[in-house]
Amino acid sequence: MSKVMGAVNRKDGRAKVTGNATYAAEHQIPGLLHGYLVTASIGSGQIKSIDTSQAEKAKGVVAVFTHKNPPKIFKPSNNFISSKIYEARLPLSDAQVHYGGQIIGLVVADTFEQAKHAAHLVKVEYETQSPLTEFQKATFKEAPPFMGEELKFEKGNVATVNNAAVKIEATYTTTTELNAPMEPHAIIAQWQGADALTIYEPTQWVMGSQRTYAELFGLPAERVRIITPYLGGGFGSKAMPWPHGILCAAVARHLQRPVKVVLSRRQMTVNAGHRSETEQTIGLAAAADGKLMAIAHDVKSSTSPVDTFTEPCTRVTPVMYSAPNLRYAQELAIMNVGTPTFMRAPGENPGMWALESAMDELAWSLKLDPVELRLRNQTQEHQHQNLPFSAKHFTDCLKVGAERFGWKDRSRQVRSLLRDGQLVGWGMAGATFPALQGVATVKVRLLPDSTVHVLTAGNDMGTGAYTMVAGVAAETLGVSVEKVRVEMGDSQLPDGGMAGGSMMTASLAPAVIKACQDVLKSADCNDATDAWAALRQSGRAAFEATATSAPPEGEKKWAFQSWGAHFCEVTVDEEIGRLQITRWLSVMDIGRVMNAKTAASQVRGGVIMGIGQALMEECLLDPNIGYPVVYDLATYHFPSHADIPRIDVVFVGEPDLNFNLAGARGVGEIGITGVSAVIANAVYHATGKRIRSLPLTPEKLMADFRALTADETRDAQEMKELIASNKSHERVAGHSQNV
Amino acid sequence: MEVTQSTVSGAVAVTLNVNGKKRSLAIEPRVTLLDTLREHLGLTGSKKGCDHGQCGACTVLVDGQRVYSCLALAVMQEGKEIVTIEGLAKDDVLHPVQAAFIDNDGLQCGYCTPGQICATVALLDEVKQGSSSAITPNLEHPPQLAELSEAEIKERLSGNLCRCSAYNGIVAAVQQLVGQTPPSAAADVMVKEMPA
Repeated sequence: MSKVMGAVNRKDGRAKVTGNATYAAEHQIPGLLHGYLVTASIGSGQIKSIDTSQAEKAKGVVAVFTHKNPPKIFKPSNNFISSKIYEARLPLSDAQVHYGGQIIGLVVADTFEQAKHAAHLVKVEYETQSPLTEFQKATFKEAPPFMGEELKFEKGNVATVNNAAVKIEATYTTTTELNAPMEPHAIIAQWQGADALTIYEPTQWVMGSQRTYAELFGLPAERVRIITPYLGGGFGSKAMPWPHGILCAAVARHLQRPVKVVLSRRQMTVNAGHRSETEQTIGLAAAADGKLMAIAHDVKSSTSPVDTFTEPCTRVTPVMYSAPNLRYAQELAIMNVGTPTFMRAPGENPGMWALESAMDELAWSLKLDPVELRLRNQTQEHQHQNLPFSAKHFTDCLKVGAERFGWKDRSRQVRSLLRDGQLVGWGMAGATFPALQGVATVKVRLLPDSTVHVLTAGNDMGTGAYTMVAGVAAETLGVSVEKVRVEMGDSQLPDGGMAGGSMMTASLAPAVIKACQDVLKSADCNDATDAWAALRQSGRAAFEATATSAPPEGEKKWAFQSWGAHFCEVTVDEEIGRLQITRWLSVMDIGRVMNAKTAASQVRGGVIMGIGQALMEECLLDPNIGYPVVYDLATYHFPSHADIPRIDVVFVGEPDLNFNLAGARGVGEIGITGVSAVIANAVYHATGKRIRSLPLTPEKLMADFRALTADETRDAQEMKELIASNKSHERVAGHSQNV
Repeated sequence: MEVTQSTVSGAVAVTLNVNGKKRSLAIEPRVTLLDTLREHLGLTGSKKGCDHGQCGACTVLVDGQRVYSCLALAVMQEGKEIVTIEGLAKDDVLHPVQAAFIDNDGLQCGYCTPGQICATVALLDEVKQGSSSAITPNLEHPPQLAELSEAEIKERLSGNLCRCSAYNGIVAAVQQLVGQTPPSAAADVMVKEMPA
């Protein structure tokens, strides 16, 4: 293969900067009706009565649906193979209210304004019960397996380790977070009679959605068409149908009119998924040289009464560090909250927050460089799967990162650096995400006008998939990337797999390579230029080939995982509790990098979402009424321009040819893992405050550092010396800006 | 002149100047400029991210100034020049801001992008006209385009959220537009080459 990739501009850039990229709610459908959801204003209970008479009489209203007159929906098998919906309970299936904001009706009218107005005219009487929305009051039980994977493991015996030089045990918490894509969840459902359906909905999983809607309405899959060329972000929340989408499609069938439903930001808070809060206790035992003797990881998370989703934090425990004694377990509680779901690096993100915070605490206790502690303890095999990692370059991530950041110049004391009246701290942490690969099919067509057309029902939700597919095709065929046109996001195209689990590149790229090789073979040519000439001579319309990527060979031989290390500098103004990130470097080992521009953007996006988690993201519920007190983008804060420094991104390692013939492992999620730990570790370095609950909000940063650390004997001596010497503010922080 | 008919009662006749074209339509007074563009005029380039003036995805230019179109009623825009993302490119030639966003990978999912671009067009104009920001140290000496600092750019664009977080690329695009040399959008790739 010749090398034409490198740093390629986004293929879909022009459509997006001109406003020509059409998102779900924007398709122009004649005769479109607008639906507006009616949602429960209590956190738990039953609908005693629901009066829709006023709403029905309102101007422009076509119909109102509640549990009294639900549209017909079939129960899907919901097994991930033939169908999967986010929330197992079907919308409007009974009078029960399981969580605040649950969908209890849909008003359909001629215009959006009329539907919204009429939705507020629906009168509901409830029989309320006390909602359970406080994690501390929930009842936790052993969590079920996560997508077939046991969340419980022990090797050796952690309880018998009693000769450790240092033992750490601490509990780390995260709060409820929202995926909050910029494009609100939206759907247009249009029926062609009673047995053919077209859905315009952002979906990360085109063919999964097709199969699922087909089951929900008793249709063969090919009678459902999903059209979703552009998604305004999803981050895990747009892979399967949510209740609003199911309801919209059902109502459109009942009315035999196209209907559009767009969630408001308030509805986005509870009706489109979130990351559950977590409570994680990590125990570490180490010898004096830093070698880990034991790791214990116990996790609690919560789910809704109407589906089961466990935040699988312990997936990181057996892959990061080697210990002869290693144990983990997860528990789950049911609370009156909306259904939690996948959110960028589900499990790995909160898991790494806890583990990488604990490793930092251990490094301080051992007076050992946290980079060195990680180097000494990294594992060459997956300790649960008992398989070696395919192509692991975590060492390079740590060493290249440390060198470029200037890590050796750091101060070894907390509260020792001051710049412009603010405390300065440096932190580091590891990153990891498993490499997954699905089966994907791609069709490649060589056309007589010397262009290439690549078609697949895969999707690009901002990841760069359009560009990656074009680049791989261009490279394999030996043509410029401008010659390649890519069509995605339509269920009439070959099944392109899921844009989730960071697996789209690993799934699609091998299929693109194979299809391109096959099309040249079928033309009996070595490159596209010859093939185009042969095509024109033949008078045929196109040379084409279709290929499917196989599951990774040697699946039982290797464990596939990506690696990384983050380094950052923070400043803390303790008087007002302001925390700012001033410098950032991420070094990642993801196998082959398909496009240096879009891959960098993926890592930056992950890091910045992690900065949001660390600094501000928090969805709080009122413990009494069980209703979210966060209801839009002014109350749910995520980072804006002013919160974000330049994020420098470096990739190291080698193409992972044990994984697939493209050598690529995927890059969508690894960037966010470890981020909140790096920041908390840097905050500890800056302030001496070990904050173990996210987000790191001003009141935590303003707390007296002596109070925070008084009960931690390992820090006490250091603190005492520091306070006595009172020299902490004399040294001025400086760093080599050599990133 | 295109005329869009509406059967909605309570609707009033409005004529808007959008991207240099007169558009006459009948809409209820409660319809926002954003919903008018998206639902009545087929101009879906302006995005609805929050509908509350909190995310900036709906930013358009009204008489050259950036406006959150979800907080503006369409009936109040008569006689004003409205420019949306669809009105920036000249035929096939992209507006320099649009081209700079592509070059610097200042976009991912693309949903906030029209708002970010319209805000950037306005930002450049505001700086040219000598406007200060909340962090301008000396109000007597507002920054010139060429010396616009990274902090000034970020402050002046913080009314536009991006959940994919293409923030670095967007700031780099502005730096390029004011004649500075931004850092590369690409990562530093030290990964071994594919075997031949």
